[in-house]
Amino acid sequence: MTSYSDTAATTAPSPPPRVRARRGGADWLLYVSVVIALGLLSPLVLVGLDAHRAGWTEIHRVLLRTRSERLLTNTVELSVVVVAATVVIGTAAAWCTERCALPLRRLWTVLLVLPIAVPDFVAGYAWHSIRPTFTGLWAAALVMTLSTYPLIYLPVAAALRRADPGVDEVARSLGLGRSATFLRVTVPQIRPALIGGSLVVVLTLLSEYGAFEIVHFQTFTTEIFTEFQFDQAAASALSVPLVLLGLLVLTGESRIGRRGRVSRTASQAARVARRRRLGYATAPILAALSALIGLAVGVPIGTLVYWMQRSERSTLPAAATVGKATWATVDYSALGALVAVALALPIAIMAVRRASTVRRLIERSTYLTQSLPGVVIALSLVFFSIHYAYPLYQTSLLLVAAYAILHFPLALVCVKVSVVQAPPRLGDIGRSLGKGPAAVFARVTLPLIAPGLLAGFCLVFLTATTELTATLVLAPTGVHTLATQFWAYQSEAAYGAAAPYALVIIALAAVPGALLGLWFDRERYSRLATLEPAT
Amino acid sequence: MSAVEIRNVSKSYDGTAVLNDFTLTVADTFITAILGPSGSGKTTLLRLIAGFDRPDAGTIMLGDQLVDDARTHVRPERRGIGYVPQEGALFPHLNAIRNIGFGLDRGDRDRAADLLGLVGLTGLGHRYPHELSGGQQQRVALARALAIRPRLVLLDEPFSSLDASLRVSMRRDIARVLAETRTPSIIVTHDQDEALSLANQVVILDEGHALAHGTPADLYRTPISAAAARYLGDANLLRAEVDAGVARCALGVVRVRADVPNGPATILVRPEQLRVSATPTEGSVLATIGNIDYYGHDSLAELTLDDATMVTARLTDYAGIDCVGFRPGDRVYVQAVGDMVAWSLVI
Repeated sequence: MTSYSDTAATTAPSPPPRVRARRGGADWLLYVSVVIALGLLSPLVLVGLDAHRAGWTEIHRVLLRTRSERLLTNTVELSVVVVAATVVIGTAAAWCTERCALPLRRLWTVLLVLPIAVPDFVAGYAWHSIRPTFTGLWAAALVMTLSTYPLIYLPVAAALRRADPGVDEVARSLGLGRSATFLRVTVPQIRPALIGGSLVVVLTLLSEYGAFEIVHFQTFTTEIFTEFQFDQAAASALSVPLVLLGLLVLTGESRIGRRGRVSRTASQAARVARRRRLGYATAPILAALSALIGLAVGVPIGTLVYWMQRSERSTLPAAATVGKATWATVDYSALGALVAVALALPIAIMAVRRASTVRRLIERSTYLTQSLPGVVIALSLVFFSIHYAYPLYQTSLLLVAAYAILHFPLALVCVKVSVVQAPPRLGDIGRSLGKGPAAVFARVTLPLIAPGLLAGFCLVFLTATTELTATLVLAPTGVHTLATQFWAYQSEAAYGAAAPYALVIIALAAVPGALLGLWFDRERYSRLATLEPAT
Repeated sequence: MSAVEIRNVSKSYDGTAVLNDFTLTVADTFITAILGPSGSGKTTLLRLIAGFDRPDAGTIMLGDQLVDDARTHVRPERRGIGYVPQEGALFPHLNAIRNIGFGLDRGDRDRAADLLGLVGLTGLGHRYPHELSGGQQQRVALARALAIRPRLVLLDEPFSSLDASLRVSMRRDIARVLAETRTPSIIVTHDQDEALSLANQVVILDEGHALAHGTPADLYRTPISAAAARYLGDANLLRAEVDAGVARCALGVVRVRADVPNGPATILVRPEQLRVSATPTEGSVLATIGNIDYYGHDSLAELTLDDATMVTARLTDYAGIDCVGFRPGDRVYVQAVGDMVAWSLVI
């Protein structure tokens, strides 16, 4: 029979409930996360130490010379131009693929993302080799716009896909015209995506080196690089304003990015927007999209092929050399991607499984590395190895570490989405059905998080393959990657010899790039595309 | 023998006590409903029984097996308890038949098909969770839990995500399946109708304590306290003076159950124990009708007695008396019929 008693009914005074620390597992995860976060943030500390070592007088001298003013103006002007251009192009492209009945829509969603497989320095080289007078602000702006607009396109397309078309219909029923509806209803819905995307664009501009060096456009990063070869103290002093700029952009985003977030009340009633027939507009729109991809992908590849064909066989590198460099690139990029995903997993689980201020803080702090340009992270690791761990200096370990730190936020965003796909209660159910923890991990957790882990791996691998600055600083003597080989040849204006390396980079990066384009097109992973600290 | 025996169990999360010195015994062969508002510790209780969490203090027995105390913690996979969580929680990467077969050995695949038929989903085994409706997902979740031939099934608000009409038919189906498989079960819910219609035994849970227990009819007719009475169904609780089997209260003189001692008491008058008519009857008092909520099969009317006491009466169209004709503001006669439950206020 059922019986019950409550405390009021029991006569014997019950002892006070014992409270045991039974959350050992969760705490363990928290400690691991703290260690990882500190490791990721160590470059920030090292930059400070390095600058401190250089001394205040050096910082003063470097920062207050008129040259620094020029660098700052250059950076700001370029940011304004490129952000404006990428916002317009990225939004227009996203509108075309998401809200219009575009012929071969799936193909376009892949092609539009493809420019991220073309390294900026390769694009810069291609344009510059067509016309040597292709230099300065507008040259830099053109190259960077064509290679970074996918960073706007991806999140905006995802936001448009998630936005409730019912809201637009209500606006129309309230008497707003098509353009008024777009401005007053659609734009606010994609605003967080626009802000998040713009942030990533600005951070990319701050850290870009190769393309700007080629088109003779000076920013803090190119200056740091130049100084690094002659005067290390000046280089570390110059890192300070660069880091501050990055932090400024990042905190600015978290301030305005949080406002006006749009939510959908009933997710199961979600409808997908009917794609609008284009009619007469089809031809011009297809022409515009083709032109965009032609400029961003066609021109670099065409130029590379042209230079290869024009060169005599003797000036082209031997296939074996290219093969060796390819192997080195794949090796380092894959290792870096593996480490980044492995480090992101505990942080993601920690942040997703239980919410608290401390956990949120730890997680968000790891996004700070986004504001650190590759060259700064590389220099801080050089500083670290020279002063504290000399045996590590000039080892491939540092390069892998740099890739992992540099691209950690990308890995985290992907891994976080995948961890959300595998809530702990599913694991509980598996356990209650008589399966042990290992079996449950293999049969439930792993299948659910695998796509996200793979996406994270692809994204970091792709970005590391096309990375130049940190690689130039950290590649051990005698180790040549595709990027360093390309850079060495193009610096000597040996265009033909440089071209094969660039083509291999693009080929390597295109596969994961296309995969990601397809992934982002699926609703489940569309949050990946925002590439921002999702809450 | 009891299916579950919980003794002096406490559990807190982040310093907030959810269950405090909780004791409960659930009998075998019953559907037991645990009824409580959200935040009363229902889900925590199920998670402790299933072994997903460990109690901070106390012991839990399953049958004659000790599964939790200060030293023991039997892991969930060793308990043989089926768990049907809110909204099913099916494995999204497995189709229906593979979800059901998850806990089965490879040689036992026929059983998955049998269970699919038992829950009425024959032919839908190849569908993935996102291709199933909410009700179908719940059926698969139940079949998955039953597949391992559990000694006990726990259902956590299994119908809360379904719409009202589906809920009633699902309730019947699940009761049928549980009876056919002779599986003892505990279902937690915040829905009174669900608890009353589905369960053989109901436990009312309030802020981590078991407030009352019993069969649905006992709990409704003879609740153990005023708080328990208010919890289940509509209740008019009135102050009264008991004297030799009758009580004097705002409704006049009413009969109370024999075992109530003389002196001040609280009496319970269910709304259907009040007869409302336009003409005076024996022992009736005058009242003014306030708001009327019409439900079709009956109506609930707010009445203000002449001493300003407010009571609720259930108006039914029983033989010859047209209760639908009443309007707010009407003056009516109210009579309490039957024996009232009363709790003495004499200490």
